[in-house]
Parts: sequence; structure tokens; C-alpha cells
Amino acid sequence: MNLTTQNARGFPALIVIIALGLLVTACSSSDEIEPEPTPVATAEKGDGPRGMVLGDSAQAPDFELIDDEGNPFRLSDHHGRVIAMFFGYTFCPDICPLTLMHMSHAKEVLGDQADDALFLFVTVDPERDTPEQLHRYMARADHNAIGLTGDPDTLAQVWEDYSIAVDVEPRDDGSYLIGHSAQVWLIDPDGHLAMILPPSADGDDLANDVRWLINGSSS
Amino acid sequence: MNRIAFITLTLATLLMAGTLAGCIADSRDSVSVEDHWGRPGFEGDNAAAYMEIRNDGDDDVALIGASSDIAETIEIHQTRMESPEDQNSHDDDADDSEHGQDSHGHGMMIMEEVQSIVASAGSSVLLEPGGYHVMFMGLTRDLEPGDTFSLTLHFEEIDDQTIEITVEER
Repeated sequence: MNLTTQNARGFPALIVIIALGLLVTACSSSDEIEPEPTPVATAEKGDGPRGMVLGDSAQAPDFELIDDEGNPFRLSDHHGRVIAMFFGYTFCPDICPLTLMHMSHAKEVLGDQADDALFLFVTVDPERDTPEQLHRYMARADHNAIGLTGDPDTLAQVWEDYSIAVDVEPRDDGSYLIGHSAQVWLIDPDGHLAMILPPSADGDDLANDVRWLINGSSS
Repeated sequence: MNRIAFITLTLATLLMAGTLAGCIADSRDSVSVEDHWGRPGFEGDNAAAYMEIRNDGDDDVALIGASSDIAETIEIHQTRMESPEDQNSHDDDADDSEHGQDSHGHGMMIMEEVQSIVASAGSSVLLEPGGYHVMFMGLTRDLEPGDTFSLTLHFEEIDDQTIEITVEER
């Protein structure tokens, strides 16, 4: 009815709207902060061994366990190749898959030389890690180690022989986790305990040291 | 009744409210979750999810939990090397002296629940293999590479954030 009044009230409101529009723009601009990419370490390492070399040439303690296809597996039947051995369990979702990924990566890096190496995953959880459970775990695309299990007493002796601490940690819900040593043992083709890789070693380190042993470093 | 003025002022009020909400939300949105992924696993087994929590805000933000229908139990865990002090309590452990190795080869890796993971103001915290992770115990279904599932992250200071985790072999 009274256009003059309408315009008089509408005008400041428009200014408010424009001002607010600018505010909205100012606020949303902080969304545009992009994270800086994490730098990737590319430092070249030498060709020498990266793990700890054991100088005493002790024979690797032998054992007979069951592989993930249900067949007996005697360690000494496989000398002649470099053996990389890790201890873990299939309910371990973090460090164990990580180490298995390192093993897979090492196999890729080794290429044809991977035939001269054997990658083993010995369980610290005989209760849950049946050959079937180990097999489906290993059947994953990037888990191509041989899973080994056995009866608890036999495994306990293997853990002791390889200085693997195993600590079952019960949980309130009745399940449990297991703390365990996470080094990778390397056994040379002559069956000697040759090296220990710390848990911090990656797939390239593993490939490097396996190759170093394949090439007869310990002669 | 002055209809145009009324509508204009209503619009202005709505805009103002929207702007304020936007600004508040914006300070919350200064926390972003990036590069998130999950490990595969079978139903009944355990798995983990990883991510980078980036905090561009002015205040520290703590991740205190997570929820999803993908697992019976979800906790925030840390894998870490047990310290020598911890190891002294394990008198029944295997005798380490035989091969003369040092502690580098013998660290026992343990996974333990942590109450929170803090992303400090202006910084980011990484959940990565061998360190912090969101731990899934008792998967309710198989997780195959390429699968996706929703994961809601609970923070102490800000609203929940729900992210879509893709299962990957990494």
C-alpha cells in the first residue's frame, strides 16, 4: 500500500544481506586450506646388510609344524634357500599384515631371485590359528608367505628357540590380543641363523638383506 | 502490513543465522580427516582403519572413539614396542642370552587401547600401520578390497564426523 515505506525498510535490509553475503564468503574461504603433502623419504641406502648380522653361525633350531594347507613342514627340508621368518597371528590387524606386506613387497623386488627365498609366518596363537584360518589369511592377494601352526607345546618350543616373547592379553569381552616379538629372522641357505631384522625394517630392507644372503654374503 | 519489508527482514534474519551457523561449523570443519583406508578382514576376525586427522583450528582436538556397524567392538589402539621397563615384568619369557642379540631384535610389539589421540592445533596426527589405528574386533562381515563402510569418529571437543572407509591392500 505504501510503497515509500516499503522501500525505506527494504533498502537497509538489502545492505545487511549483501554484507552477510560477504561474511559467508570470508568464512568459507578457510575451507580451502590444503594440507601440505607429506614428504616421502627417498634417501638411498647402501647395498650392505641393513639388519643385524649374527656372526656366530649358529644352526637354526629345527622344527616340524603344520603348514596352512595341512601338510607337515620341517624347517631343515627347506635349507638351500634363504628363509625369512616372522611370528604373528591372524587376529592381529596391524603389525602382522604390515610385515606380510613387507614380505610380499620383498618378493616383488627380488623378482626371479624370490625363488631362492622362502617366507614363513609362524603363529603365536595356536588356539585360533588353525591351518584353515591361516590358509584363508594367506590366500589374500598380498599375503603370500607360508603360514605355520602346530600344537601349543611344539610352538612354545619354537618361540623359545627363536626368542619370541608371547604375551596373551585377555580382554573383558572374553577375547584376547597377543603381544609378541616382531623381529624377522633370516636363515641363510646353509641353515645358519644369519640376521635379525627389527620391526622397523620395511619391504625394501627385507629384499635387500634376503638378496645379500642369496648372493652368498656369509661365505 | 508491510509484506516486502517483512519478507526482506525475515530473509536477512535467516541469512544471519545461516552465516553464524556457517562460521561455527567452519571452526569445526577446520578438523578434516584425510587419506583414510581400512584393512581387509574376514567376518569374526579383527581389522583396522588408518587416517590422517588434520586440525587447522586454534584448539587441540582429541579423537576419543569411533563407531560403525562393521565390528562388534571398536577401540582406538596403538601398536608400540614394549619398553625395557615393561619387559622386566616378563620373567617367564624366553631366555634371550643364547644368541647374544641386543634389544633391537627383541622388542615385543604390543597393541593397547588408548583413551584419545590428540590432533594439536595447527597440526595433524597420523593413524598408520605400526602406530595408532582404529581397531575393529569381531568384524560383522567380510571386508574385501574395494568394499566401503561408514565410520563415525567421536571427538571430545567437536561434533562427530562420519567418513566413508574404503578397504584397501596397502
